[in-house]
Amino acid sequence: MGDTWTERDMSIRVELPTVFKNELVAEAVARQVAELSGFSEEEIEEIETALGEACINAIEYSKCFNDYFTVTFTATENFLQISVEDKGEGFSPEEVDHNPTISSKLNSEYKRGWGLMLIEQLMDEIQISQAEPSGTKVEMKKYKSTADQQ
Amino acid sequence: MAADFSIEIQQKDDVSVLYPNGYIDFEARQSMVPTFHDILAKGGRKILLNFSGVKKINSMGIAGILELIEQATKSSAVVKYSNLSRMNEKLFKMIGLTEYGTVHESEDEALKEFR
Repeated sequence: MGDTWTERDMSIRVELPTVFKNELVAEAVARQVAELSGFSEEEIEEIETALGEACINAIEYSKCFNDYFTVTFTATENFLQISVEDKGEGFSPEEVDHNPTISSKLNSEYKRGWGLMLIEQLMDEIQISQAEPSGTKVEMKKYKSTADQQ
Repeated sequence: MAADFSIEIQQKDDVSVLYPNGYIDFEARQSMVPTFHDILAKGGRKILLNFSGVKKINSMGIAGILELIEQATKSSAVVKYSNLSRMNEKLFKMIGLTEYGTVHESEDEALKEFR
């Protein structure tokens, strides 16, 4: 994700308490940034939804209540990159089902586990890594539909 | 943060029409599931979920909707969805919820299909 940084780029960092519904605050910021960056309404809705899921994971799976998670928006001419970083215990992406199916969820106790699949389908790139000194960092990128992918 | 959820039921002939209103997340699931269960317990077998009041659904809310579908399937009830926003309809297709209920642009269209 090492794209060129120019004077027209902008970067915003938001710190939010690890409390449910704060995903809506992050989504509201994403909407403003994406609108200013010239994304279409459909793309903005996809960005909001994907970011909401990443924030929910940060809030829930970080197991780090009474703390904060950080959302960083980096907008360039061609794309918007968003990273969501928590300070929790972290998780291994290999252990997550990336392709859950509705037939496997029905009649199963566990009906959750859709977030990562949704992020992967709604964004153009996603990278999950361990945050320093602890926690999980989810970086995702969405290109404007008119822009060629690098 | 205020993101209140409510759900209203209207009986239209033999169709129970549910109007969820607000953000469908984990909290919403806690009121949707018992409401749906009550309809089935009273013998309702045609259920329409009108999503005109729902702007956002997250994956925890999706899990709640899956519970409704599971209950409906066990009771041989037919479920239809109407008035989904573009993004919510996209979510339903991605998850596969459209395999368990048809999507209709309007409530009238869905009610006609029930008859």
